[in-house]
Parts: sequence; structure tokens; C-alpha cells
Amino acid sequence: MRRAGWRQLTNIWRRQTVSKWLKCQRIGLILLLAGCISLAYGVHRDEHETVGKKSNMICLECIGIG
Amino acid sequence: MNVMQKLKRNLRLIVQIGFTALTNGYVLGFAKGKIYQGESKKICVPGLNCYSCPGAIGSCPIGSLQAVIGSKNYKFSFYVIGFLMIVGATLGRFVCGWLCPFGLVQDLLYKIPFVKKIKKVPFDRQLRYLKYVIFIVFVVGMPLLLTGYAGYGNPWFCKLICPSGTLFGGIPLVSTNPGLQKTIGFLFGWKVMILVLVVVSSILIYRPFCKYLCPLGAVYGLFNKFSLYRYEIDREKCNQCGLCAKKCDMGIKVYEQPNSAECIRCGKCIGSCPKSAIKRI
Repeated sequence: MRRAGWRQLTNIWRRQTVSKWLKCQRIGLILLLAGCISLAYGVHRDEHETVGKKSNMICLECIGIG
Repeated sequence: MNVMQKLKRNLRLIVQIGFTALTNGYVLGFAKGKIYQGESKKICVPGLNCYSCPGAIGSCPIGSLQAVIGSKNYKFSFYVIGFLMIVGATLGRFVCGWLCPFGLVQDLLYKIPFVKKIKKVPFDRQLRYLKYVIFIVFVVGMPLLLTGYAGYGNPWFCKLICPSGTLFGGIPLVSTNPGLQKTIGFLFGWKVMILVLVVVSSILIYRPFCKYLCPLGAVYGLFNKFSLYRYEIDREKCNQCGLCAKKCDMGIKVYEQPNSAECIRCGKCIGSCPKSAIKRI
């Protein structure tokens, strides 16, 4: 009986803490989700291959030659 | 002072050095005058870390953004913008203060003693907007619009401005690669001149490149208000004594704007507050 009450109490505390945190961080979390979607779409379009191709050669412009 | 206290006091410096070593871990590259060529180069690193640095094992997000925007196939980079959003939404400009190799260089230069430091730069407020102009013009606009006959744009920020590329890429490669030594010309001289200007001003002013020129800092700064890692002022405890603002090297009134776009999350304000009113959330 006592154990069930304790569990109920911690559940309420957890729910309140999590919901408070989610409310406080909602814009950050939306931006994070949007970033994940954008990154995944970029990978789908093989943009990372372009990044890899460019960065695996000496970038003459970056070092002040090209 | 015991070891733990010393570690705690220098934690930021330790993290900066550790992360720089981690993202530039290909030591052989420095000896051979060649760059690392591997799969990890497809992945961006959070800080301004030139992918032509012989040790670099990841890619600079600003260089990558220009490479994708300037390529014939894509005119927008979902990959790099998504990466910047993830890092920005999670950490904001914490990256500048703790993870950027060029930030570390500027921090070390500012530690040089016996030089009178300049705390107030003329036109400081106006100059802070320059980094946004650089991002729009040199990182996005010019690579997108100024394309050659083959349809490829140049990475104009890297080509004309970036002192990090000269320091971490240009100088180590040119000094160890005889083939490259023969090809240097006016552009290399121009970039070395910019590097010298940034180095000299970094001795006198705290992080001038981050404050006025860095397009990556400009992007992360936009996320500072919303990032998961940010500061909060306990208004009940704060008596607006201004000690945090005095301690802040970036010149922010922390008690008014704890999540200013200029804050690099160095944490000095937190340590200086006698009321412990500034909290990390």
C-alpha cells in the first residue's frame, strides 16, 4: 500500500517535471526536430557526398591559393 | 588549490584543447603535408574547423554550406542547414565558447600579458552586425549568384576572408608541400594579412573575429534564445549589481539579456554572481 502511494507520487512528480521541461523548451525542441528532418532530407538528396567530395581534396580557395 | 579545483577552474580550456585535438586528430597529415581523406569528412563538425587543415577529420559547416550552395546540382543545402539547426537548437553559441578551434586560438592570444587590453571598441554595436552581413553576402549570396561557365560558385568567404583556413590549412600545407609553395600569389598574401590583423587584434581585444566577423557565430547566435542549453536569471535573487556584466568579456549586460546572441556561454558570469542568480537550464 505504502509502496503504491510512493510510486504514484513519483509518477506525478516526474510527469510535472517533464511537462514543465517540455513547455520551457518547446521552441528549441521544434527547431531540433526541424533540423533533424532537414538533415535527413539533405542526406536523401546526397548532399553529404558533395561535402565529402569537396573536403577530400585540398580546397585551394580555403588556403588562399585558388 | 587541489587538482580537482584546478581542473574545474580550467575546465573550458581543457574541453577546448581536447575537442580541437579530437577533430584534428590526423597527426600524420601535418608531417606529410597532405589532408585526411576519409568517410568522416562527409560529416560536419560544430566549430569553424577548415577541412583543408591537414589534421581535420570532419568538415567545416561554413565551407560545406558554400560547397553545396555553389555546386551545380543544389542551390540550397538541407544537409548543412539541418546540421546547423540541430547544433544551434541544442547548444547555441556554447560551440563558440567551448568547441571552436579558432575560438581557442583567440582565447590563448588574449591571455598574452603585458599588453593593455581594449575593453571598449569604437562603433562596437554597429560592428557586431557585420558578421550577419558577411553570412548573407559571402557565405550565401556570392556562392549562389556568382557562378562560372560550368555552373559552380566559389566559396567566397573561405577565399577572401576566413583566417581559420589560412592558419589551420594554408600555412601548414604550404610550409610542408613544395608543390603548393610554387603556386602562392597575391591571394595568399591577402589572406595572411587578414590573419595577422586578426591575431594582433586578438591580443588587444577579446575574440574580435567572433564578435565582428564569424558567420558561424552569427548563425548559432540566432538560436541562443531558444536553445536547450541556455541561461536564466532568478529575478528574486538578482539585485542588478552589474558584476556579471563587468566580468563578461563579450560585453553583455547578462542581468538584462542572459541569452543575448553575443553570449558564448563561457560561464564567467555564473561564477561572478554573489547571489547565484544566473542558472543554466
